[in-house]
Amino acid sequence: MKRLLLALLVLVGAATPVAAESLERIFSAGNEAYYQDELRQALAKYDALVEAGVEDPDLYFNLATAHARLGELGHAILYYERALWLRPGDEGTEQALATARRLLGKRRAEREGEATVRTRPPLTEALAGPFSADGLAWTLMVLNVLLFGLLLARPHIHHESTRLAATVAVPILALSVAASGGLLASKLGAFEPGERAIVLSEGAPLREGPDERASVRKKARQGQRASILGSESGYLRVRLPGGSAGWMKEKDLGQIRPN
Amino acid sequence: MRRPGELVTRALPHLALLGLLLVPALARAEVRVDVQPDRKQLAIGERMTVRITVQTEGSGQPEVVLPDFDGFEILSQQVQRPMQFSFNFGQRAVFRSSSIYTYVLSPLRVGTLRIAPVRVQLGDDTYTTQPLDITVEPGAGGAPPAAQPGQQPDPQAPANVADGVEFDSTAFLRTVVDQAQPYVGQQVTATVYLYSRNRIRSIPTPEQEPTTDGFWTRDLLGGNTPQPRRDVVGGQSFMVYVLRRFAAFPLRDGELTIGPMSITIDNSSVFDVLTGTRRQPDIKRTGVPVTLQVRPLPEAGRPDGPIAVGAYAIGTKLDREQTATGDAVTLTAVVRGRGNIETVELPTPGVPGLDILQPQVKDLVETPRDQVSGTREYRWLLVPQKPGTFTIPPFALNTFDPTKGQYRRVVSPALSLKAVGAALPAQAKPVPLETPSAPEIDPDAVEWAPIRTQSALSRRATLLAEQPFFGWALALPPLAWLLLAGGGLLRRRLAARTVSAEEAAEREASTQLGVAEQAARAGDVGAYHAAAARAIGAQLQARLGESVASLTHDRLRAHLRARGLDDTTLSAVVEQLQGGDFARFASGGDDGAALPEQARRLAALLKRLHAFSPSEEES
Repeated sequence: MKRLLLALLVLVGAATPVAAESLERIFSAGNEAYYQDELRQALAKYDALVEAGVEDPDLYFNLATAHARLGELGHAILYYERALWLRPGDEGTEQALATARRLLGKRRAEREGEATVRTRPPLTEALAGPFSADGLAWTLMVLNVLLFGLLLARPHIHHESTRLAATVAVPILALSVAASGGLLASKLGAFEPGERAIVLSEGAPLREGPDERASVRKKARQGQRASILGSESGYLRVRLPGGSAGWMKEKDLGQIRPN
Repeated sequence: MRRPGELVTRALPHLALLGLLLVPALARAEVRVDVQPDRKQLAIGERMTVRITVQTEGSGQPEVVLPDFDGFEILSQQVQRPMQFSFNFGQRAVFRSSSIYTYVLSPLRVGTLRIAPVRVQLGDDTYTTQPLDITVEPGAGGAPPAAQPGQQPDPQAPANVADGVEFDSTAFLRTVVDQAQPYVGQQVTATVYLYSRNRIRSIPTPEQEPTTDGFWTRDLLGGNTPQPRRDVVGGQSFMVYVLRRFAAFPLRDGELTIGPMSITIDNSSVFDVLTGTRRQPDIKRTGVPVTLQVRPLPEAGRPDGPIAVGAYAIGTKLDREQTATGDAVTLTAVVRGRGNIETVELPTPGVPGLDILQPQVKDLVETPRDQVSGTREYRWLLVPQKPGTFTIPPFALNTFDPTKGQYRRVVSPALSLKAVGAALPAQAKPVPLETPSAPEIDPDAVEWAPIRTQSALSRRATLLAEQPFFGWALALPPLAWLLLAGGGLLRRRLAARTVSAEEAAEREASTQLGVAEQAARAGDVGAYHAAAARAIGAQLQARLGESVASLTHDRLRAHLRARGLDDTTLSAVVEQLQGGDFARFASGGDDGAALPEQARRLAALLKRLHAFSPSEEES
């Protein structure tokens, strides 16, 4: 109810300075709680902002760091990844993500003798990683206009050297359009079987069906990547990197790209 | 007079010769029939050759009645007649013939099939061979006999085999599972076959893989494709391809279904273009789901705790039997056997005074004769915390062998480890994997980056690439390019067509001037004026872009004036045309002497018209 009222307040006065002030105030209150080591309270404030429709890399960074300090490394990795999705190449976030993964590996090694934590993303994702989706979309649009504009203008260019330059530029622009289109498609997950997600709980069961009684096929590792293929009655159909597919509870997974 | 004895003596040689000559004719006809199969036992899908040899010698042609090979499909037949000739002595003839009939047969059903006797009739005598019994077994290592059209179950098919098939005369998919009522955890082997009337050109494209919800599965083909074989269904011969074969271990009891596979068979070939063959349409086929009734493990004699389904043995060893306190010793336990080895779990032993870390687990799975088996190796690091002799208790595994229907407890021998040295200070016990909530490492001990105190707090916004206009924004430039480039091309083509019409009219004017000049030289007044009129008309059409042939002189004058033709040229045009009319309709009106001069004037006029640039026509 409290969240609903807050969301209503935010929606009604979304464009007004009052609303912006409210969001700022909640954000500041969250930060204040964080500095006072009231991490759960800080998380509640940050979550309220997310519920209200704020989708900001700095907010996700703070969420991730609060979770990390609570030892909830699955959530921390998820929110760092989400912050990077929104603001690729953010050095501070990349370092914090690496720290969270290192800590997860260390914790696992303490428990099991040795551990391997995969940090390298798939190739297509790694290529598109440094770019934002909107940046790639703008690049694609501009290059597209340039390419076809040049194609239209080329027959009317009479100056020999200019015409030669246009002839050379056309295939380069065509390749650039294809590359930016491919990167954009990769960024939006077009080459993957489903939505990218992170496993939040250690040993989260991967079941054969969307039911508590269904047999467990495998136990997923915290911080592990997964692809969400579908959903049914509180369960998500997922595929893990090794190819294992099954059903996991919604609470055990977090989607990297904000909903 | 000769004596009777002398007569007999003299007649004997002749009688003997006559007897010799009559013996073949009077002798009983001789028939030899031999039925020789290359084997008397075979499996469905295999083929056999039956060779029937008929040799006759007698006074007539033999009549051979061959069996109809009921229960077999005749794949090929051949008749050889290597020798066939006759001797003719006087009125009687003796025939000798030899025929070899060779049949290649394929059995259509399992059981004992009888090949009926061969009957040979020669003259009044009939010769019959013994019938031949052939034993036919189910296909060895391949699919059991396929259901016949109309899904009639084969009474001889093994009762415990689940078979999903729907007959189609061109191609169909068939799913065979070797166990229809397995126990939970028992391996069933599922095979998806493609039956095709024709040999397929390429590997079919799978549109949908068989679903196996409720099973733990393992592929048994491993990328290998078995050789296709031939089978007979409903009297039709099919090529049988193995598309999928996998081991499936039911994870729960009750009804479990292996879903149907869907494929597309591509009938085209790159050589179709070269050979001019018409492209055959693709064939799409979907199989039939197979439902298994999975039985729970029997309650009678069931031990408590987890049960490993299969037949297993456990071996254990320590890498050394004596060590110093604080040094790690490796304890290895290997579970070996037949069954879903990857699901077999061994508990971590607990020994006071020994710190035992979580194990490394290594699986080696094999599938000899499509039976999943292998080893699972557990390796624990044991660290003695104090000196003394430690006994590592035996590992025990409760198993259920589905082939025997019996429970069994497999136990490894106990091991002993001696540790020497001083006792180590106490350490925290390893936390089990299943309790992740308590972090072992204090996250606050890690130096996290400071949180962000300034933020734009951006609101949720639809990505540019997901805005409805984005697709249009991308499509617009290429569409504009296509439109403009296409329009330019069209314009150029129309312009080319206009220019060519103008050129044609110019050429016509020039041609007609030549005709007029020739007529002038010949003194042919009529021909000259006709050609002159055509030349002027063509030249005007070339300049104006339209024909003026239908206009009267007055209207032509008005029209040309409107298009900007100067009065001198206009008068000359009209004068030329009027002169022509006068010459053609008034006999003797022109004597032809002035024609060369008129021709020169005509040439000058056409030149002036050629230089004429008409103004735009007023609407």
